[in-house]
Amino acid sequence: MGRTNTPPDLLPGTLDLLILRTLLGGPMHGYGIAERLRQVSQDVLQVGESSLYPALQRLLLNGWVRGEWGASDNNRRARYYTLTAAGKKRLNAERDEFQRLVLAIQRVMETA
Amino acid sequence: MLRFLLRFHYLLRRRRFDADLREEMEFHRAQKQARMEASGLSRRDAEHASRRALGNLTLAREEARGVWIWPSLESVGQDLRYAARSLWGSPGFATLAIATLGTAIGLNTSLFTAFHALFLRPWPVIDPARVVQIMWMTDGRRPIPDAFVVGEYLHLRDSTRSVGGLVAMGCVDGREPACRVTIDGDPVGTLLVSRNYFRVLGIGLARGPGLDGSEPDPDRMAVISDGLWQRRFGGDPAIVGKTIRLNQVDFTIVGVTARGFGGTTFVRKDVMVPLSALALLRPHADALRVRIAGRLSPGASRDEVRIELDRLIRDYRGEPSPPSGKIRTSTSGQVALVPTSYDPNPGKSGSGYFIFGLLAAGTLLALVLACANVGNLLLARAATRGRELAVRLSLGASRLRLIRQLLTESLVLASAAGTIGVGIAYVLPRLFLDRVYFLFAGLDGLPFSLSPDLGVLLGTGGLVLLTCLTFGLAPTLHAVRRSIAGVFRSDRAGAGARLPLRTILLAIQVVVSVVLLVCAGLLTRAARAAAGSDLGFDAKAVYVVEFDLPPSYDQARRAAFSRALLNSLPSSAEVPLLALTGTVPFGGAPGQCRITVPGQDTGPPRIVDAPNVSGSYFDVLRIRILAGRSFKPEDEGQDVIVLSQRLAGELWPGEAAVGRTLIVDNVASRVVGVAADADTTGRTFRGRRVGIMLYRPLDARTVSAGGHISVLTRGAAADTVTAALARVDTQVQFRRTHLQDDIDRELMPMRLGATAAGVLGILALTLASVGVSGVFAYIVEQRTREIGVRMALGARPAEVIRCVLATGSRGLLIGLALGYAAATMASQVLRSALLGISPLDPMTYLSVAVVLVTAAVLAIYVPARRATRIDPVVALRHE
Repeated sequence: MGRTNTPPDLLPGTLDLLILRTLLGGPMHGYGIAERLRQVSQDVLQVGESSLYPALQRLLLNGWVRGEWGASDNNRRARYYTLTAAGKKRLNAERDEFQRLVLAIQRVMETA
Repeated sequence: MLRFLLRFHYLLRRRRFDADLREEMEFHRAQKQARMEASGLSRRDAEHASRRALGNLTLAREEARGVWIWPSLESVGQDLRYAARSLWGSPGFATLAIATLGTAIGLNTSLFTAFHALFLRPWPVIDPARVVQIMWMTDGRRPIPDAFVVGEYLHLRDSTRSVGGLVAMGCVDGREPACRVTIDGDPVGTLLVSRNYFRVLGIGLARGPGLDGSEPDPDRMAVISDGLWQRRFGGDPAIVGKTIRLNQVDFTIVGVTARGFGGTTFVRKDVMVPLSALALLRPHADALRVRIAGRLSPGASRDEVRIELDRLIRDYRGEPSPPSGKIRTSTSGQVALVPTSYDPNPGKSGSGYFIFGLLAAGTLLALVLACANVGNLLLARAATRGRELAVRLSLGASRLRLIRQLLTESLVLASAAGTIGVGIAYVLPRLFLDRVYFLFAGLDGLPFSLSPDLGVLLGTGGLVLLTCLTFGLAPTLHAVRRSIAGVFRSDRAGAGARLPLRTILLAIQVVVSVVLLVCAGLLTRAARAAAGSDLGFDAKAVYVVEFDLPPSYDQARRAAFSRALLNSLPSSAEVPLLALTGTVPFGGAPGQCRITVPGQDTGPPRIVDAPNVSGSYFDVLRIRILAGRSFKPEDEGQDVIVLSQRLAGELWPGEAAVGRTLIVDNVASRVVGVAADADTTGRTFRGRRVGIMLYRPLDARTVSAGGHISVLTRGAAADTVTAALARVDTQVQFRRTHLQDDIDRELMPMRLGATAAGVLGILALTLASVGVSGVFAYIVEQRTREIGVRMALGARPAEVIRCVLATGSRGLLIGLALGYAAATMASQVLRSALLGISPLDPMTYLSVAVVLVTAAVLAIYVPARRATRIDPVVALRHE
C-alpha cells in the first residue's frame, strides 16, 4: 500500500479532524475530500483509501457526519458526506485541543 | 446508545452497507483514473495505476467494515471453530471430560431443580406474591401449619379487614386416619376446602360452577381433578351434575379443575369437598385441624395482617391481647405468615433444608472433584500440546490470544457438559421424587411440575461459567507460561515449581474423595444398622387388618360393633395369633399417660407412651413376657398394666415390678407383667432412646369410649381371621396390609439418604480413580525421555515404577491427610443422621483408606507399566 497510506507521522486522530474541517465547507464525497486535503496541504497530505474510508465509517458510526447518495459532477452516483451538528461540536473541541498541542510542541521546539 | 443503535442497524443491513462501500470506493477509483488520464496517461495505464494506487481494496474494505463490527466478534468465532476442531481431534479426552463434568453439573442442577420446586416455587394461583399461609408459632422458631380449628378459621374469615379472602384446607398431607377417603375401596387423595377456596385463590375450573354455586345439598358437593375425570369418567363432557361415591356417600360433581393444575399441596389431591363434608365422610372423626391461607388486601402490609390476625385469634380463644402489639411476650404463641410453596412440611422445614443442604454439599464436592479432574486432564493435554503452543507463540501469536483460545476450549467443554447436565435435570428429580413420593404417600405422580425453569437454567449457566474458569484457567496459564521456555526441552517441563499444579489438583481430588466416601460410608452403615436393628418385635408375616365403619353408624352402633369384635375373637386355642390394638406399630403415635410411683416424690409426673392392647398382642408380635403375665379376660374391669422392661427398671431399679402399684392418669393401677423392650413407635430410626412403654388393656371399657381399633394377625391365621371378621358385620369392609411394609416405609428416608450418599461416593471414587490415573499418565508422558535414558542405562522396571510413584505420591499423601482431617469435621454435621453410629467410626475410615489406596494403586499401575515398557530408542527420538 506504501505511499497511499496516511503519512506515518500524522498524529493519531488528526485525520478525523481534517476530514471534519474539510466538510465544514459543505457536503463532499470521499474522493473530493482526499483531493481537497491534497490540494490544500500542497501535496503533503496524500490520504489513501485504506485510511480514508475506515475514518469515514468511524465518523458515520459516531454520528458526526451523515452520508447521502447523490449525483457527482460527471453524473455518477456518489456518496456525499455532510457535517452534523454533533460533528461541528466535535470539530470545535478537537480544533482547540489540536491548537493547544501544536502550540505546546512549538514552544518545546523553540526553547529546548 | 447511538453507537449501539447504528451498529445494530449495520448488523441488520450488512449486505446493503457492503454494497454501498464497494460502490463508493469504485467511484473513488474511477475519479482517480479520470484525473490520471487527464494528465496524459493512456486509459489502460491509468486504470492500472489507479488500481495500484488504491492498494489492497479488499483489505481497505475489510478495515472500513471492521469499524462497524463488534470488536473481535469474528475472532471469537474463529476460537470456537478451533476449539471444536481440537476437541474433535481427541475424542477420548473430550468424552471423558464432558461425561465427568456433565454428571457433576447434572447432579447439582437436579438438586437445585428439586429444591426450587419444593421450597421456592409458589402455588399456581393468581398473584401468588399476595397469598400467604397463616400458621401458629409456639416456640418462636418453627411455625405449625395445621394449627387452627374450623371455628377459629370462620372467626378469622368473618372478622378480618386486612385480608381480602381467607381459605382453609383440611387433610392436607392426608395421613391422618380421619382423612382416608375411598371410591369403591380405592384410596383417593381428598382435600377438604372452604367453599371460597377456588374463588379467593383465583384457581380457574375447566368446567362446573365450583363449590360456590347453589346446590340443594351444599355439603354433598365435590370438585374433581382433571386426572380423575379422565381416568374414572373417561373425560365425560356431561360430568357436572353426576355423582361420585366417596366412602359410600354420594356427592354431586360441581366442577373439574383445569388440566395441568398442580394443586396447593405436596400430595396430589383428586377430590375437593367442602369442610363440612367431613361429617358425612367420617362422622366420628375428631375436630379437624385446618391450614389457613389468605390473600392480602391491596395495601395491607404483612405486619398489619399478622398483628390483626393475632388479635382476632386471641379474642376468639379468650386470651388477653399482649399490650401494645408486642406479640413476643405471649406465652402460648403467635401468628406467623409463611409464603406459599409445595414444601411437604411448611414452616417446620428445618429437616428438609438440612437434607438438601447435605446433598448440596455432596454434589458441590462432586463438582469440585470433576473440575480438578478435568483440570488435570487439561494439564496433561497441555503437556502433549506444548509443542503446538510453542510453535504458535514463536510464529507471533499473542499470549492473550492463546489464553483466549484455550479458555474457549474449556468453555466449549463446559457448555457441552452443561447441556448434558440440564438433560439430566429434566429426568433425575422426577425419577427420584416420584419414588420418594410413592413410598411416602403411597400415591403415584407428583402434582407439581419438576422441570427446570428459567431460574434453574440461568443458575446452571452460571455454574458452567464458574466450572469453566475453575478447571480451565489454571492449566491454561500454566501451559502458556511454560510454553516458550520449557517445551523444546520436554524433560524439564514443570520441574521448577516447588508445588506443581498437578500435585495441588491431585491433592484436591483425594481430599474430596475422602470426604465424600467417608460420609457415604457412615450413612450407609447407619442405614444398615437401622434396617437390621432389633426392634424388639417380629413384624414378618404380621398382617394389619383395618376397617372403616359406615358413616351412618352413630356412637352407640360403633361401640356395639367394637364389643362384637371383641367378643367374636376366636378363643386363643382356635386362632392363637390375633390381637387387637388401639395403635398399630408404626401407625402413628400412641396415646400417652402421666405416671407417678406412690411414695416416690420425684417431682412432676412422667409422661410415657401408653398403647391399648389386647392380651394376645405380645404373642402376635413375639414380644417376650419377662415376668408376670399378659392381660387376661379375667382382668376385665380392673386397672391393670404391663410395663416394658426398661420402664420397670427405671421405676423400681433392681426390684421386681410385678404386683406393685403405679398411679396412671390419677388411677391406681396394678402391674401384672413386664414385657421385653420393643420399639413399636419407630424411634430407633430417629436416633432416640427406645423402650419406655406402658401397655394398657384394650377391653370393653376402652372400646365403648370409641377409640380406633385395628386387628393384628400372623401368618396362616390371617385368612381365618379376615373371614371371621367379615361375619361380625357384613356392612364393614376390611383391608389387610403387611406390617413390614409400614416399617419399610418408615425406613425409606434412611435408605434413600444412604442410596444418595452411596451414589455420590461411588461417583467420587470413579472420578478420583480416573483423575489419579490421568495424573500418572501425565507424569509418564512428561518423563518418557528420562525414563528411556534410565532404561537404556540399565534401570530395572521396579526402579522406574518407584521413580514414577515418587513424583505422584506426594499429592496422594497430602490429599489423604487433609481429606481425613476434613472428613472428621464434615462427619460431625452428619451426627444427627447417623442414628448412634459414631462420626469417627473406625471401620468406615479404615475401609475408605483401603478402597482409595486400592483404587490409586490400580490407577497408577497402568501408566507405570507403560513407563517400564518404554523403548529407549523410541524415547530418545521422542524429541
